[in-house]
Amino acid sequence: MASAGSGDEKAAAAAMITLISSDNEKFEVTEATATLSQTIRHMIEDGCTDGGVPLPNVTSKILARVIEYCKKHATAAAGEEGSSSSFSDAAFLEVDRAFLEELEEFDDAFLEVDRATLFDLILAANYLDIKGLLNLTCQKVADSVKGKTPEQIREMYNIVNDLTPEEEAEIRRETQWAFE
Amino acid sequence: MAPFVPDDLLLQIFLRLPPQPSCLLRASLVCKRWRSLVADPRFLRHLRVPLLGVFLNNPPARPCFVPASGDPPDCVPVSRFHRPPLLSWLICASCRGLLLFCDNAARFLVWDPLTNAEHSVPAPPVRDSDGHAYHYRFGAVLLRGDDVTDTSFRVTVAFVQAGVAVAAVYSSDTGAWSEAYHVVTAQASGSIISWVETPGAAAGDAVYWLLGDERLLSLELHGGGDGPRALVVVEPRNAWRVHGRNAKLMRTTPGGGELGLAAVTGAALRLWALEEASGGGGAVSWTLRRTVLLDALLPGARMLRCPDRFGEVRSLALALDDDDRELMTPPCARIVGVDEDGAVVFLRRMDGLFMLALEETPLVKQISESYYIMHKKFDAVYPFTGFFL
Repeated sequence: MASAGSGDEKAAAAAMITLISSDNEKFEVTEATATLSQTIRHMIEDGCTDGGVPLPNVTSKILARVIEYCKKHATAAAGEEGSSSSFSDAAFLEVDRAFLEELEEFDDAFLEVDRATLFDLILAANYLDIKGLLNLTCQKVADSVKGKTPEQIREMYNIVNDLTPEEEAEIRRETQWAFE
Repeated sequence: MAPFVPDDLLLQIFLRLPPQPSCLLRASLVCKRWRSLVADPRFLRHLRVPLLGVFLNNPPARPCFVPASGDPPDCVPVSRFHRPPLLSWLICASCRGLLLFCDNAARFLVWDPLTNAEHSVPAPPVRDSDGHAYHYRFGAVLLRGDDVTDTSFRVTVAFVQAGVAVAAVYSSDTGAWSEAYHVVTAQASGSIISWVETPGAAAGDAVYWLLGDERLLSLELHGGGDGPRALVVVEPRNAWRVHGRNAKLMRTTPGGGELGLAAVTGAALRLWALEEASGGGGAVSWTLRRTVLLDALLPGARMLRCPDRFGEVRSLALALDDDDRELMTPPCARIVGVDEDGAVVFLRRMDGLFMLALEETPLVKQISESYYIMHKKFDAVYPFTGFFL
């Protein structure tokens, strides 16, 4: 993407942060990648990232995926900043569009995970406060529920039906049309 | 579910469910926890309430319901709303899931089709010279807050006779009408509200009706809902050029304070907004905001005109410009309703009822093509929104 960053910005982008997963694995990431997480951004601002950032709620498996997401989207964010001053330039717009398409493809592929991982990603996105990832993963679950009957939803997510037959009949009495 | 997902994250997921009426309902039947979260009004107030369909008057039978929400499982059956109120009553307004009924003596009743609950409203303190019979010659607007947890509502009624307009507001909180407010509308023979289905709309802190002479009657309300402040007649400078009476008042944006007007003239739907006229001095005029060409959207719009009621050509002893010619062309459809947010317009043609979503790319859906609907020359439909939970 556009290399419009000044020398200072490049230096800041190159600053590395160490993230430590719950199973004690260490991940070196650039500050630009790490600060997609508001939680980590605040820690950096408070100057408490020396010696690494422990993330006791996130396993290495999930953290690796989260970092993969953040890397891709941090590049996207940098690209947007770089091209904002030249928005009238058709060539830049073309590049942006191609990049956005690529990003969408990345997101689609990123979401090709089993359901347990998907929920782990939601929990991690929430804990790390990464808005884009939270939106993406929650939307994926919402889409999976769409058009399904309650029985199908329960089966899909291993949910036990604890509504009594009377309760269920009561709700369905006036709304049978929605189950046909 | 593999890992335990806390309530607030489940709600984040439910917030992203598509707006089809069946979707939330099905989710609410998964288990007790899901049900308690989905059916909680504190959650529901964050969602856009789905449009389920429209009601329309069908005298001498009871009003009928036309579903707008699509194919099964999202098509709410007509039979769901089994008992609208008394036969002789007509719907005269709707707002966020409530319908306002009236009879020819201007008695009012608010009906909630989902719960079948009725709330009768005492006779308003506006009387015509005979002291009683209105023969449906008044305008009413029903007001309800955006918050689904708030069950209170207000009813505003206006009546014009012999050059004087009278209006009042009823609040369900107090169970009483405000005092009656009066304004002289002058003796112009057209300055009446001629029929109960005269379009009225709320925008900002006021309620508006279109008068027969294309001026507006405006009832300003206090913010808190404790009573009206003033009844005034508003005269947009360019009113007669704008709509040829095939128009409905509306909000320009959801929850917005600006009054808009949707009008079908010729083969186009035009959306206007009431703005301060240049030159100031408190004068206002309709400003064209958007033109939606219906030719491209409605099937065969050029071929099928809707001649009833507006076939009559205006006799203007003036030179005609293009705008006037447009107004004199029979409109390709009759505009019969708008939703509370000014986001959906309903159009009637000889071949059915259409719903036009005013998105960036306007979307048309035919919601009824029944013989039954086609042969009713109705002037108004009443949009009905709600959750089935």
